[in-house]
Amino acid sequence: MSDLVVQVNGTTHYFAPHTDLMSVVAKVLGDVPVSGVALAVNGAMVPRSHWNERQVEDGDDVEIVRAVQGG
Amino acid sequence: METTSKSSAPFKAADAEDDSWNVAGLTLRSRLLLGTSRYPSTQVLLDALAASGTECVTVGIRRVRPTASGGEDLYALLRARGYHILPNTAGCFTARDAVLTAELAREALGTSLIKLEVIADEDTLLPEPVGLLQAARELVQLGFSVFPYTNDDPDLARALEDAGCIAVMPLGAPIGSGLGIQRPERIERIVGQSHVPVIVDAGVGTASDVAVAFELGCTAVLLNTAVARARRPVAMAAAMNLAARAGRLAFGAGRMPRRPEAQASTSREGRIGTAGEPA
Repeated sequence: MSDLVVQVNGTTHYFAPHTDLMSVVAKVLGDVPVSGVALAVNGAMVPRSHWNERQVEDGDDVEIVRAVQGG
Repeated sequence: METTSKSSAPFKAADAEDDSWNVAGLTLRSRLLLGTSRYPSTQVLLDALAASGTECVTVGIRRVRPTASGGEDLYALLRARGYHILPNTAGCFTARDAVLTAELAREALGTSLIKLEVIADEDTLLPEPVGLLQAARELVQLGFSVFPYTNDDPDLARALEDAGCIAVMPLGAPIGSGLGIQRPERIERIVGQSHVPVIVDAGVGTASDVAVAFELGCTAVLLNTAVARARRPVAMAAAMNLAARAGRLAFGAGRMPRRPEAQASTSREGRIGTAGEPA
């Protein structure tokens, strides 16, 4: 099977089939922060408790966010 | 000789020192909420927050940038110092984006507090009332404690309160403008009608603007750029702290009625002089 094409924070990434969201975060961020990050797939928030079971699919749009300076 | 009795003490220190207020289950002693953006450095940010006396600070929610250095974890930095965190939905132009941002903030930061911004356009950064009200209703349904950044429109403020928002946050002037409170009568009107805390959000330029907000009866003030972009941010933060206390005391003291004409403070009786009474 060919790699999945997935957008993560606006950048194209390629993942093997059956890659879960925890692995996506680990690959993109280098490691998985203990807290302070959240994730949405195709415009819907996915709780951290589901990152291990939820697999990305071809064409998914993933956003990983954290707190930044703001007013 | 004792000049004042307890009952007639002209000023109780407690008036200035214990002025706590409640919102979203929090009891806050400081009446200032501060933004964390646009400071010259992280150290200046932290020093300014400390000087302001604030206990609650706002943060934004943005994409993680995978940098090699890792960068500072702002959230951890603020939490370690005991600040309550109020995430915002800054930059959202639609109710949908604002709701998703709020859900991400709750998941990332473990708080149901949300400063709701739905913005009309990049140039004015004014609230977009239709999307704002829609997002407020959805977020209240989802269990959020919603702090909506709103226009100084009493009718919209009332609708937001009716929607279940736990505070209303009318602007004094556009975000980052530093113009002060442009329509004090609007703010006063919102204060008069509201049953939730009224927090002036945006427009503060200097300490006197903060005092004015409290003299109008506002519960709290949220500010950012006025401190962050002052020549000496930490000194300005301290000034804001004092202005908040001064404004609260003045509000509690009750200002004198405005008069169109002069009224002598010193009695005319017993005065000396050769000039006769005016005709």
